[in-house]
Amino acid sequence: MNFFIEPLQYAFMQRALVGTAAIGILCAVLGTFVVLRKIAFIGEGLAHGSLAGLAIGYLLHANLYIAGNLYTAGLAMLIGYLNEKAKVSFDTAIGIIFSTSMALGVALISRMKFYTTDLTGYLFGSVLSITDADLLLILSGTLVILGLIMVFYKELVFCSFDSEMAEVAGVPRAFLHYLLLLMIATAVVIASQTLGIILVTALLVTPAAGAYQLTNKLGPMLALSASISLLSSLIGLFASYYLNVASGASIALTAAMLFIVSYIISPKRKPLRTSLGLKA
Amino acid sequence: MQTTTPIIKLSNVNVNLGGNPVLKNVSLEIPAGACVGIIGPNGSGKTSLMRTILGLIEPAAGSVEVLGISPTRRGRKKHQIGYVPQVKNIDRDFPISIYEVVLQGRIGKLGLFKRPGKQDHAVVKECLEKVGISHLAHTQIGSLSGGQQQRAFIARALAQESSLLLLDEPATGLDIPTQQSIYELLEELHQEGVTTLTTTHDLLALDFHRFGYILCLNKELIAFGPRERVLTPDILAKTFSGFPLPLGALGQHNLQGGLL
Repeated sequence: MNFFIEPLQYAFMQRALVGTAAIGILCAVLGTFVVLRKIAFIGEGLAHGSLAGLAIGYLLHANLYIAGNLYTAGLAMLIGYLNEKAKVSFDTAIGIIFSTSMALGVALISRMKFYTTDLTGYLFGSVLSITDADLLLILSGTLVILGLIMVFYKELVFCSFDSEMAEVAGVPRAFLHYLLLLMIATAVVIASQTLGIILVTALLVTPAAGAYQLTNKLGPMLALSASISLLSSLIGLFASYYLNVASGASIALTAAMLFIVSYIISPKRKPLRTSLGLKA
Repeated sequence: MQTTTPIIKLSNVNVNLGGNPVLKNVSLEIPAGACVGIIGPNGSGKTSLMRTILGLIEPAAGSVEVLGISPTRRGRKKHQIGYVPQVKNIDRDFPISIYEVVLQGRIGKLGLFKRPGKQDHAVVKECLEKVGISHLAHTQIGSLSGGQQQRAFIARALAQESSLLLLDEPATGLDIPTQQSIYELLEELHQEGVTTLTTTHDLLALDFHRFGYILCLNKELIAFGPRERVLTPDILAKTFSGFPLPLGALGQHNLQGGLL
């Protein structure tokens, strides 16, 4: 018990705990829609693309996360626009925008000629350096996004399942498509605090995919996804503290392990023993 | 079908997809309450015609009016168009039950920020009953057979409570009893005064005598009118680009009062 309580004496660890928990739930809920829409690459694309926003923010001496957020929101809109209007397929649009933006980021950073700890934290996650201001940003972002999902829940589900029919019924499909992208962009930047931009996809995809192994009902899938993500975040946080590894890595690895567990116990497939040829 | 007010009005509609014309200069008035069968070969623009009526495709030229307004205009919520898409476009793994699928039929009318109420649930139950899949209400969509899925989408369209229903190839790939029950349902809707448009590329599957009107399409409108007048060898040959039709195989009973 002391194992869990002792680190929490430190204020930075308390902030880290609240922050990772919020991010875990946020990513899992949004991630459920990401997985159902089969757009797993979006988080990765936006996160990598956000590097340029970060570099610009750094050059302007602005708050990195706010600058990154605004920039990434712009990227998300651009991807949505290419997909909607230019008839570019979604993953192709992500590919174009993310590589271009990341190239811009790399170009800017290489001109700066130094790597700050801020930047490494952004790349790989530095959950232990979350400040009060960061935490405020994380919590308010999480609440706003979860609130929006609740408000538009039935429409988001309808569009994810059958976007054409949703449009026929008069649901503002395009608006919701852009809104979802905006929410993902914000979540990606917020989550990069704990996960780092390289590993944001871990919580955006893996917990929802794990939950999908266990149920074929949407409500339980959301709850399971949030639980798996929360568990991954907390285990990852303590692993990061005790083993002194980047929090993004420990959280992502925990999520992967939980996915494997979900796969093994999944009621959707034959028991593992049978598939291995060892008669049940 | 006796009423003459058009529920759908197309004037000189041209539709291009990817730069290729798929509908050429189509002008059409479909009377309210009509039970219309739309026939034409693959690629004749049947689905595009439906998508244009639904407002999913914007015509390159011409005007479309459905239920009194342009289908692409906002504020269509009050003027719901019931639609049964082709089943093949559906993600069978989606975590959603039949009941929830049918409940989606109510979302358009509900509008944003409102949750389905007692009446919506009552309508859903009634529609499930109508298509005979009440016992499957809580089954996940992917674990049903093709015919059962088709019924679920028909129930969803019924739940929209629209006076206009579009069905895209509803009978394709289904066994004869299921096809029959779909046609019987069309008949019922017709009795209730609902206008229905049903496409098929399979003349053998088409139960002709169910339809009061036939629309023959091959990018251009070949013919539209009461069944007896449209189902002639000449018009069918023109529709199917002179392809020799297995007219004998169509069977007398399918074409009574029309062809042959």
